[in-house]
Amino acid sequence: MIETRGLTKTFGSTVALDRVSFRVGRGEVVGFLGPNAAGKTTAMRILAGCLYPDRGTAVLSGFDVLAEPREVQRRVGYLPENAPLYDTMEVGGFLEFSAGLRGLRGAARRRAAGRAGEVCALEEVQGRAIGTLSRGYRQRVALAQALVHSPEILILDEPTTGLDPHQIVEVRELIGRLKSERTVIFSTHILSEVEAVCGRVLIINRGRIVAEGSPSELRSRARGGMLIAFRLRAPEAQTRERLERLTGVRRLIDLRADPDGYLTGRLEADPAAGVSEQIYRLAAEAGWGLSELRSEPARLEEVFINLTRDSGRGAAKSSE
Amino acid sequence: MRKIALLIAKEFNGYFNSTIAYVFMVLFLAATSWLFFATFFLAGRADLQPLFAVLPWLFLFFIPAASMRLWAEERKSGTLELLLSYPVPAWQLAAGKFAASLLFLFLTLALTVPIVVTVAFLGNPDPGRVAAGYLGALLLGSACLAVGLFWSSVTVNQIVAFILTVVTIFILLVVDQFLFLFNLGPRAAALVGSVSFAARQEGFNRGVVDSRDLVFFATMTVLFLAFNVISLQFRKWK
Repeated sequence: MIETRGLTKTFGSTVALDRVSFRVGRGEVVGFLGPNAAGKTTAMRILAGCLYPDRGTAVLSGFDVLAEPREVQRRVGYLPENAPLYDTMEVGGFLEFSAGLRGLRGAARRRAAGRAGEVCALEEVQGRAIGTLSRGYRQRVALAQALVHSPEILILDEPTTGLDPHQIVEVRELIGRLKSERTVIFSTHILSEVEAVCGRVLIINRGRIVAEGSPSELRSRARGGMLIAFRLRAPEAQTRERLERLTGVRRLIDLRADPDGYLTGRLEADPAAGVSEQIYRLAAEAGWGLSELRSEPARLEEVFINLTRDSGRGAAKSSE
Repeated sequence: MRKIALLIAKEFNGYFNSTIAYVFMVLFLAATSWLFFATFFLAGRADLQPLFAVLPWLFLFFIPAASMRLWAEERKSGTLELLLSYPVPAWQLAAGKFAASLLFLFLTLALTVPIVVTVAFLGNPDPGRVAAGYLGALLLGSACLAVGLFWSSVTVNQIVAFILTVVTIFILLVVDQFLFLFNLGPRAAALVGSVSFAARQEGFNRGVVDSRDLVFFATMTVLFLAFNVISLQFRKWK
């Protein structure tokens, strides 16, 4: 459905994209994850036909963005970053305008605009000027605009930025509903979002894809491996030392004394070292009370931070 | 064509959705009326030529004001990104904006018709000359709008677009009057001088519709619209 090979783009002396290659299959929902200015927007602008790559190819639905940009654009719905819209136009009129420029005519155009408005729950604000809408509504109008011609591919650049938690959930659900019929690529730097909707994640940093896989695959590749949380009734000073001495413990992330006399803490451990069991035995030997012991795979945040560490600063700014 | 029509409608409504259009029209009408009637009653001749003679100098400031917004605003607000993502070729985007602004200019010029009616009531102006005068004004206006549209596509800043357009139109208006400054041969001088917008428009004011002038203004319009399309395409490459 989407295939890029060696996509490269430079702005002046900064390299925004550096030989980026990836594939996205039909019906997949793929999240572009990366710090700000990592190259996400540049990649999406190229896929949407708003920008030409310096080198490399991008083929969408069998059409090359350089050779047949109009054919690509007919099949793609694009939500640019920050939802730019015509403030003086009315919601309904704007959707009809978008549908018309996508080649729909007459009754089909009106129907498409109406349907997109319905899907994005815009009926109430149909006749309002876009400039008077709240951030959440604006984002939905921009999304409706991207959907109006029922494209095979949706490219959404940070669709949830600037929304309140309630609105974020709404937009996320909307993407969830769409994914059965369409291929969706969306960018974000909110990790929970990726976990919530994506089947696959591409982590981009400094213009390169640094990791790729499903959220759970990426988690299992985390350097930290396991995260162990515990609650012990034990003297604080001694405990810290003894926990750190256990085999397979990489570091004690935090340890604090609760008012009820318990110590609550988390540590990072090798997955294979059986650290939970060691803690249990240690508590039994020392006669400590143990009220909680839980191990969980490292979170996506850690994968992300590990992969994109020593960077982010001074990287290419993608727009303009 | 359907897409161009949509773009024209969007752009034309854009003028009237803000107060710009009304301010523009009122000021333009006030300026033309004042400049015309200030001398009209003194001269005591039912002649519209003075009206058309001041138009280039009014256009010098009014046209850049009408065109500076067209692309610069889209770039600033980010909506250009939206437009460029639609399956519409760049030349259609430029044509839509140009046609809308020309329509707006047409409407503004139409508001000066009461002046013509007044003159016709008082005297007996030559209808052919009046028609030629309006045709010349529209042609001059369309070339100036194309210049303004081009500069608007080059910058995000409307003020910069305005100034660059004023400077360009000014040079094109008076280029024939400053030839003595340069040591050009007679043939080169004639060639450079033939680019003068003011000299070309003057023929229309005298009631002469010369096909060469028609072609000249049409060529200048198309030329600057082509620059506009190139600057849009260039954006995708840079």
